[in-house]
Amino acid sequence: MRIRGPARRIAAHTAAAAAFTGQTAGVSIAALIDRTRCLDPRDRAGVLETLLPERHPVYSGRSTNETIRLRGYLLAAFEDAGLSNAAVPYVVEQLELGRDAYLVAAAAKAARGWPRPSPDWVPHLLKAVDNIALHDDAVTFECYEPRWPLPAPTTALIEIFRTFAWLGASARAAAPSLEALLQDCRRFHPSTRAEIERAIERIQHDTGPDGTACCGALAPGGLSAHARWRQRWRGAPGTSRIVFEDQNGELVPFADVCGGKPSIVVFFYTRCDNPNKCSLTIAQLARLQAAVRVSGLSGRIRTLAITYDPAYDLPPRLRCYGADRGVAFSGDDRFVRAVQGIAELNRFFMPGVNFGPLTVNQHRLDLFVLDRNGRITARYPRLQWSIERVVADAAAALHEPTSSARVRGGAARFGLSDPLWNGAVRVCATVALALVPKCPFCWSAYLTAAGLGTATLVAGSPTLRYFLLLVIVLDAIAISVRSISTGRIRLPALGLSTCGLAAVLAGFWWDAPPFLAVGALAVTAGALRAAPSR
Amino acid sequence: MSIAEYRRHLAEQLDRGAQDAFRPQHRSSAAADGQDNDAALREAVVARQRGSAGPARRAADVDDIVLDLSRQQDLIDVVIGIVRERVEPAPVRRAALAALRTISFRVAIFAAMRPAYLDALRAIVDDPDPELRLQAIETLAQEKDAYVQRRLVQGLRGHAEMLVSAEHAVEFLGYDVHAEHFPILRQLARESTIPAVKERAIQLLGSDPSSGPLLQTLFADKTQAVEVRTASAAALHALSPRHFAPIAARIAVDRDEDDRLRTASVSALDHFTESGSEDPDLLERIRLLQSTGSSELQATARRFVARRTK
Repeated sequence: MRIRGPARRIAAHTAAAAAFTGQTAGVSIAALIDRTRCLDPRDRAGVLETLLPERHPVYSGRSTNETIRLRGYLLAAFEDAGLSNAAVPYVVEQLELGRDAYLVAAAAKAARGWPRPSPDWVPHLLKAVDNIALHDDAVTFECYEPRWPLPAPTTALIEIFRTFAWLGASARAAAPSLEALLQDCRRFHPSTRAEIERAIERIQHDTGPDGTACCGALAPGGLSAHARWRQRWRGAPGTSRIVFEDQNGELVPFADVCGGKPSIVVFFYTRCDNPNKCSLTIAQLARLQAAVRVSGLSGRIRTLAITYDPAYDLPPRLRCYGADRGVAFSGDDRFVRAVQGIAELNRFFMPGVNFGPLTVNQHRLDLFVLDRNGRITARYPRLQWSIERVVADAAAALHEPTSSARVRGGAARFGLSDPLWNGAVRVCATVALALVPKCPFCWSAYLTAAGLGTATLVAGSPTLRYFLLLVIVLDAIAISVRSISTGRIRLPALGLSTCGLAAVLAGFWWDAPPFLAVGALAVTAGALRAAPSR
Repeated sequence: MSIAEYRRHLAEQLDRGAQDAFRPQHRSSAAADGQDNDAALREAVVARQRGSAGPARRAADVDDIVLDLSRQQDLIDVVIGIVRERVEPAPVRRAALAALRTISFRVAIFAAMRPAYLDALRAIVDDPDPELRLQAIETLAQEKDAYVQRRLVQGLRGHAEMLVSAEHAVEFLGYDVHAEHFPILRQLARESTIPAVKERAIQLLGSDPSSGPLLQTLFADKTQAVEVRTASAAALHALSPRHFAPIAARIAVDRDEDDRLRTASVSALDHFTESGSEDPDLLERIRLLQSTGSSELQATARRFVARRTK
């Protein structure tokens, strides 16, 4: 099927964006962003989204300033293109944490690309005012590489207050805060004060809806539903090659720092120049350690801070950075740099970071909660996290059976809620066990079916699962041998057993309980079919 | 007193009197009404800057009001305007820029003016006055400004006119560790014929892990100037002590090497605690240096030996 007209243009632009690398000239990338103006606004955002993830190769090898310029130019383009759901977290992140005027101004402009004003933007915009007040700058988005003097520069604060004006009635909650800002006549430049006054006037005189009704709401849960989420995240396997060096110079494998107990893992680097990111993250980590102690969980939960910059953040630097921010080091609380298996570490956590020739050029905040097996059970990306919530997640991983998180993760992946799934398994397995024939030959099948369904609820039972897998494999072999030895090759029995075995193996490999259950039932059915008839 | 001397004396008195008349006009009413005083000051500065006073007088006026600037945003706006206007006399603009740089540390009031200030600085990075240009670029470089970094790199690469000397350009780029202009710095370290530029570029490469091989080569290269090799030694020592030590040990005991370089090598090894500097053979060979070479080399060798034979 040939792609024609607009669809072909969209496909071409998207493919071009995906193909950008760190060697692509910045002006070429900006030119693509500009060219998307010829697309339908509904399609333009989709092309721009392609370039948003921090890990996109386009940012690899670039300096921090160049990365900032690219991302700012990209974000600002959403004002005209329309801000999509996928882009919202990036915008909120800049408003909440950003200290660069170009990026914050771009984020404020991007917010105006949202389909309709929403009061959800208000707290983020007010936070941005505090963040940027001492770091504002004259910027322009008229072209990618402007040359001074600028004909009509803007500033981050001006763009923020223009967004307040755009919100109109939706920003009524912000009116007292905006009026308070005007009390200090020296705090803002006269041009900025004029924008604040315009915003207040617009808010007070806008007779439109205030955005709290259903048609004004961004999504169930509001804007925060897009940006602040606690994910059930399945990290990729393959951590055996990862070796860390901690703040004392001790070499420790991944399993020793992330296994045996639930762990809380954050990423940082000492050369981060945004105090709202790494420095605050580590300070928060120190407070989280205190919360762990207060909760009586000391020695049962680990904390771990991994540097993005292992070549520079040597042990003495790690130790000083943590100590300066109140972190208490111990066998369960370490700062580490990866000395081996960096690629595996990257694949396991997939942190939102990219690198210039020397060091990090951009990164988002990332916090992970790992269970006792070192598997990721929750992730807090992009925004500062709640200490209480993180500790609760780690405590939940502490009290759950070892593999139960895996079950929940798999269940979640298949869209099944945890309590419902677990209850259904138990009820069905019990009923089935009561109803099916009880010949001894079938008991092995029953054992594996029931065992696979309930073994995950037994604490400390990873070995039991492998034992049960072995039993079901032997069971399927036994069925086959019996069929052949009796001269009556019962194809249905063989087929059921073979398919069931395949399903069980698939369930183990992809950690999918439904496959396990179906496979166990199929093997059981095969066993019943293979049973001698009288 | 001759007539010429009398005329000169009179002119000086008139000038002094005018200045005194300017200052008391505002200081005398300060106690009575601060707002009136500020308004009068603002009016006087604006009027004076627009008036027919000479550049020296106007520059002196700006110097006088530096402390007052920190209280009044609109005065800061006036002074920023003076900096931007290329038709204004250079001495006045320089005084204005100096005043702004002074008060920029008073963040409470200056934060609101920061965008206009930076905007004005960027507007004059290619100003005809070299001193003004240098001050503006240095200030922006200290702010890690992307625009000025881009203009400096364009000049170093030959894509545009150099705004400042290559030495200054390299120094200013070094203010921002995240600027990562290491390719151009490596090129300058390899190819520049200006010693100061080469040395500064080498210093900055001390934070670039991928420049280790280049620094090792420069450090070991006897055809390079001593200053270049010394800078390479320092950078390599900061970057990778493990690679620095064997080269330094070789140089330290090589009689064909410059004594200054040998002294620097022995001194660095003296404070280097990685394995290699504790080599007994090296210790013996450096012991021999206690009686050969320059006095500095001998003294450094004696310290090295003394620390290891306690």
